[in-house]
Amino acid sequence: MQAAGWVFAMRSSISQGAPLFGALALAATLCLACASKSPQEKLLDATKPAASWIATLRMTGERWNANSVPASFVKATAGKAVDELGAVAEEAGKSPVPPEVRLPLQRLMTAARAAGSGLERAVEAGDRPAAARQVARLAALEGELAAWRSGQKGRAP
Amino acid sequence: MSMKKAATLALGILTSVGGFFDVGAIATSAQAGAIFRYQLLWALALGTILVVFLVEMSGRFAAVTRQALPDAIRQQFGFTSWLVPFVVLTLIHFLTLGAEIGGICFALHLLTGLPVSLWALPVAALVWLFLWRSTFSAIENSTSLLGLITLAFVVAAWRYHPPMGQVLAGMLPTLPHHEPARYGYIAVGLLGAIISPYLFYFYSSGAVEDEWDESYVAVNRGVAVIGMGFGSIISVAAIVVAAMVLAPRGIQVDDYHQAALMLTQVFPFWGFALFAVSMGIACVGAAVELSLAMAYTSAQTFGWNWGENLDPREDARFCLTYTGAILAAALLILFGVDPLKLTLFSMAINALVLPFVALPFLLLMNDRKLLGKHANGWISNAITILTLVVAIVLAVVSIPLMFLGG
Repeated sequence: MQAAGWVFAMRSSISQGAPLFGALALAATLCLACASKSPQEKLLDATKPAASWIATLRMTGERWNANSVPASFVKATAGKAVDELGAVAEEAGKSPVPPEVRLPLQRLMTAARAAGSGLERAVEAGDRPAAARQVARLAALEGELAAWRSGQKGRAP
Repeated sequence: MSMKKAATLALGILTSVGGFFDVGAIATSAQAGAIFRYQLLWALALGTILVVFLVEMSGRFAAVTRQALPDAIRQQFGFTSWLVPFVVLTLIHFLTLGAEIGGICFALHLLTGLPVSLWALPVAALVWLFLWRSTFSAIENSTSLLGLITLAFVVAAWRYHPPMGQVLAGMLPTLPHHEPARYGYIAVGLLGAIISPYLFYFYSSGAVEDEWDESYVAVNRGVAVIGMGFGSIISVAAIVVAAMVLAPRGIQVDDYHQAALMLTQVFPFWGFALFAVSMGIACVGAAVELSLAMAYTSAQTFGWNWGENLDPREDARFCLTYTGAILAAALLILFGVDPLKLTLFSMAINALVLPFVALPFLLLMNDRKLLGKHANGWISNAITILTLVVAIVLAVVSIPLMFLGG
């Protein structure tokens, strides 16, 4: 087929395809509207990255103790993790969910931030036993957060 | 086949393997493996099939017509028809270039501990100097051969002994068990990372720079099929490593610091440095290719002199384009844009513009006046149409998925 013919066909198909694009855009908008979640579900979602950051801190500490990552990496990762965990604690504080749901989570986030900062200090001081203690603390917090999450999943609407 | 063509084929395959992996592949593969284990391997497989065909077509087109794609699109469809896609593609290339520069800066941050933003201007100067001083072949061969270091991911994946049944099952699309919006967003990102529009403009312009003719059609096919096929194995390996190391620990990749742990388990001493060096080299290669792709596209759109093998005095506007692009993209990182977020956003947007890329392919590759007996057959046309359908679906879903799952 000649190029001009192709161009004509292309333009015509694009103009005929406009309603399809419109329908798909409408469906996407509806999806967005349906995506609204309850405060409890939102809080549960926010704890996913928190759990991931606690696991990251733990692995980073383990790898530093095994001489696999440099101290500068642990400091940068711990700094980032503490900020992210702080953001989740703040979100929990602002959440309209009942206090008996959010307060344990806030306590967990505070403890995880403290463990992250403790790991950073231990690495700065080159204190491997102290780093190992923070890694053990982070492992315990991972378990506590998983328990909190499974408890909330049971209750979520 | 002459010795020269055999060497071109061998080098082309090596450079495809080394050049396939970039910051988008690292980010999306790490996220896919960490969150969905092997379940998104199908997106990689689909993307690889499509990119093999599209790269083969862009090389065949350049070899037969001795014209690069943007040049041909402007000539065949007119300047005004091409102007809007050109502007959109330039914007996407710019964001992707920012992501690649961010990747280099992050690799240097890992190796030195200095802040990411501090590296933005030195990295921009390094990439620019590399382009300013080198010829096309030197750039293509050095960055891509160095990029073979990314084979460390393949060695790591092999040493983990992944469950082959699950890996093979992942090659077939399945519905996600959790987080469907994020699943869709990462699938879009994976496809956007593999089918990057700049690749075709760079590849076809490079073929013209290397003075390919009709006799290179078979070489081009070998490079596209074998090189891209092997190249995708590195991305598969990255997904496997993330699935074996990060997923069992519940580590998602929301930040490159998390991805940097991927190789530390299997290579306790070298793993961290291997990741940083792999990332740095892969991103240098991609940043150079992107800068050149932007300059090629601009020069061919406006009819300027172009060619990396020319003296800068002979193609001043071509050189000015990549200089400006590199500097502006580095400013994104200098002003604190998160490299991972920029990467994932760029990959999703890459998917959004795929129709602009796929449609001209279909039109040009069927023009027998231009290509004669080398015009597309039914298999290539079917693949291009599939690409177009996938591209349109991706274009429509990528923005809502960005809000829901990004």
